[in-house]
Amino acid sequence: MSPKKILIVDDEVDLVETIRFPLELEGFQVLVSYNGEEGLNLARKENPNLILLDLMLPKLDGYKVCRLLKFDERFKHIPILMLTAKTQEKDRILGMETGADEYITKPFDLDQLVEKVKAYLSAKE
Amino acid sequence: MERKVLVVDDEKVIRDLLFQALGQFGGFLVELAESGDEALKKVKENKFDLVLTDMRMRGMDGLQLVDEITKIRPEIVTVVMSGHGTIESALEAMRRGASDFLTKPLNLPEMMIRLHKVLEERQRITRLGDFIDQLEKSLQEMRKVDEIKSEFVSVASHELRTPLAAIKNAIQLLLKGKAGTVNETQVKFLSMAERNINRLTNILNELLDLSRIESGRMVMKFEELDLQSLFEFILSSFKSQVEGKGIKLRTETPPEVHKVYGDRDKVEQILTNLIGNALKFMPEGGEIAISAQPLYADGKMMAIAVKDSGIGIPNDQLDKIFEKFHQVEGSLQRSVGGTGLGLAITKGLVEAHQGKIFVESEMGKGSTFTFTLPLAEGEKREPRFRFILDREFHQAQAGRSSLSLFLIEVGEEREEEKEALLKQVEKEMKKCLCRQSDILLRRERDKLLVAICAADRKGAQVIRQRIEEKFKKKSLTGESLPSTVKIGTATYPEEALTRRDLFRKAKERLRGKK
Repeated sequence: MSPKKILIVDDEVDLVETIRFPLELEGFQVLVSYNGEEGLNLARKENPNLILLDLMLPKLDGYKVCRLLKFDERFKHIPILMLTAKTQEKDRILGMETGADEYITKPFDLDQLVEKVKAYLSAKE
Repeated sequence: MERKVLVVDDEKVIRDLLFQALGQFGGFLVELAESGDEALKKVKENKFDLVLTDMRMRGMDGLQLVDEITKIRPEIVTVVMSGHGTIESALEAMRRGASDFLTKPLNLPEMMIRLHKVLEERQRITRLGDFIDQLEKSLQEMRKVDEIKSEFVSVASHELRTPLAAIKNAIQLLLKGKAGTVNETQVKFLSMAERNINRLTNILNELLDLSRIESGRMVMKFEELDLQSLFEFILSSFKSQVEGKGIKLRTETPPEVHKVYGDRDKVEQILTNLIGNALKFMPEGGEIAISAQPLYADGKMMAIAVKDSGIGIPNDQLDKIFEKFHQVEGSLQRSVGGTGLGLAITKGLVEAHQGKIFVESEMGKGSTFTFTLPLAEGEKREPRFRFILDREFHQAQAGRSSLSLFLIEVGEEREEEKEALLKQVEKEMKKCLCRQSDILLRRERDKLLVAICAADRKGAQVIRQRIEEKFKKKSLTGESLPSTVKIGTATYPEEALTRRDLFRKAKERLRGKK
């Protein structure tokens, strides 16, 4: 069986590295994109098993990326976990309305994030 | 400074007399005018402190002149002179803005005193006006600064979060041995770094909480809360911490009334803050008791107390502990950590529920923090409804956002049908309200559905259309709404500026008035 694909879309290079590393240790294939537009194209091309998506992104923000994927029959099954530094409740509501499966505020617990990713992926099997 | 006076009279004798009296003996700078028209022209071209005018003149008379001056130069003091026959019109001039009147023949010493008096008075009023203007200006500036401060806190904490996340993750990776084995000393220092990152995160969160509370931008999601289960949840979340310190944590709720009205997360935060605080200053083997008791005197609130057997708070500190950044002096504060914001936030959260918080304490014996929350049960449904509308309205005002109120009534004769239709409307309405902050309530007493949502007038129309469409699809006859269902709406701030007005307008429309 080929490894599960996870797409990380976040413009914070260092942060992406700290997330990519443990996920790869778990045996996942990790794809990375540093802006929203490229992330969206990559998601459409690669059809990953899960997406970690930042909210504030260059070119196309996370809300839009999420909505475009979640309203697309071909991709709406992909779990999207929103990662963001915004903690305002209204942002949380907006995040949920775009159809994101989960909304995680930075900083988060890395172990918990990895567990969450694993849980989403095993539920899909 | 010399005051400038314009004397207006069509009699040359009077003009000359006044020129001499006011100029030579009164210390005024005097200008003269023969008629109202000439006076008005001079008033427009020069700066005068006072205009002294005769009442009866050819052309424009004194009354008209006073009118004109009040209109174009309200800062000029006007005084009219009248003979016996014109007292009535002199009084009328006073009503229209003249400061005083003098009767002819003139008594010169009296005139001097009166003129100085009205000028002084005017000066005092002007100064007072300037002072008020200044006050208003600085108040506006203060508000602006406050807004900038809130904005700054929110942006800063947002910008700090991302680097913090990267550091936290990197440390966690090292600590967990994901990047190779680490020795004991390395673990010790990495743990230290991790602990302090967490502390920094807490401080950020607290700062953000506080700025949200202070700016009134906190979103509240009210619901009925069962105290019993809330207490149980709190107990379980503190279980390991309490057992680790050998402390007893117990709860008691009153047997009959145990439902309050509040935002679950916020009430949990209040309790967590208070218990966490108690734990910090608690010796081993101590006890924390949480209890609830309805305040019957008031009939609307529940008092919840967190009582500890800790070290107590000095008397002179009691009224300060709810202030921002206050830390009890000489306490173990430094060793137990903390930002000094916890209790300020707790107070803000309680007040957001229209409750109050207070503390009693005895040194060496312990402290009791008591706060109140609105009751939500049985007979108390009416105040609850009003409470929610109050709360939402207040929030919309503070956040400068829109608020729509829907009142929905079913006029069905038979009770069962009415109930069924009401349920159906409730269900459809729920589907149409899409935001988490929207609220749908049922007023039991008069079987009225009340929906409060953050929509403007257009949004309210959309919601109304949506509910009509939902019914249309289900109805066989194709009518948009059953004729017995009536909906009345009103929107803040477009249609009503006060809560009372909002309710009245919605109710009027429900009754079919436009």
